[in-house]
Amino acid sequence: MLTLNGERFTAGQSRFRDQAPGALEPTAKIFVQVEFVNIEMTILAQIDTGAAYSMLEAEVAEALDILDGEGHVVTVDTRIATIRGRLERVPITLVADEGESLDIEALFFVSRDWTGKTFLGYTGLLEHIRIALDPPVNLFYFGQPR
Amino acid sequence: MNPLLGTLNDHPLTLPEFNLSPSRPVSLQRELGKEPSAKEEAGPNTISTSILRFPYLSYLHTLLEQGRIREAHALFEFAKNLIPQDAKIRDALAPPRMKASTKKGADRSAEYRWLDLNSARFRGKWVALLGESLAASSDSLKELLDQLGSMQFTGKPLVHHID
Repeated sequence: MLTLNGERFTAGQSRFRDQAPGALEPTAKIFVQVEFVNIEMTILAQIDTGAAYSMLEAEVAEALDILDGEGHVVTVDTRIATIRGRLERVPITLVADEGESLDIEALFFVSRDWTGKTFLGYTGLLEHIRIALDPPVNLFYFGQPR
Repeated sequence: MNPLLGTLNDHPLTLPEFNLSPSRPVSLQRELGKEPSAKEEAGPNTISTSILRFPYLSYLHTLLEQGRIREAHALFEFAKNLIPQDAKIRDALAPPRMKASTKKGADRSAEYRWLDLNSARFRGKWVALLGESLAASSDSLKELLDQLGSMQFTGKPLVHHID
């Protein structure tokens, strides 16, 4: 548990990876473990506070059966291209190594045209929770606001 | 300052009565402080009528596309009584449900070590790892999950798409 001014700030912590394991692209980023409902797997998702939306890798969206969902249609400018997709609620778990994990119905941009990885962005996810980083020891703190 | 004021004044369809001007005696701030209702009765040329006519849905859409989230939230909170109940944009702007969970994460050091050592042989593949063991690999996540469905694990595998 992380405290601020004597009060609980976050309730969960996990160790983050600061480089995509095995990737050719070597720059440092923040990857945390995420689980989905109905799929027995854990994936790594990149925390991106600069991204307006969380993005779901198209094959993950397909596995979750939400690739052709009915969410609100938006067009998003990405570093790859301008793509059209839908905003879908996706139940995920931010998995804690210590303390409480967090189940949250996060908002994800979902599109067949998104060929990038899975990102945890600001709108509909990070804006609603508390997060903190301790980069020297690769710790990610998170929890719901009180 | 209410962020909503700038939001409305910024819109190309903003009606003149939405523009705040020193000569105008009406306090728009006060008007915006009151959430509009579809049942609200107002005279034909009042600010309240203009508020009812404002194209909230299309402008919320524009704000979302531009990533202007704070403004979208503020406008949605202000006008939610005028947004159709079945509008999909409600889902996009509603706060998410969340709760603490007792799930515990696994130390993935072994999986990361496997990826660092073996990724070159699996470029473009999806892999499922448990500890330093490769449980399955495939060109597609769907196929990988099909393979995993016939296996039994103690704990969830780490699934990774190797660039």
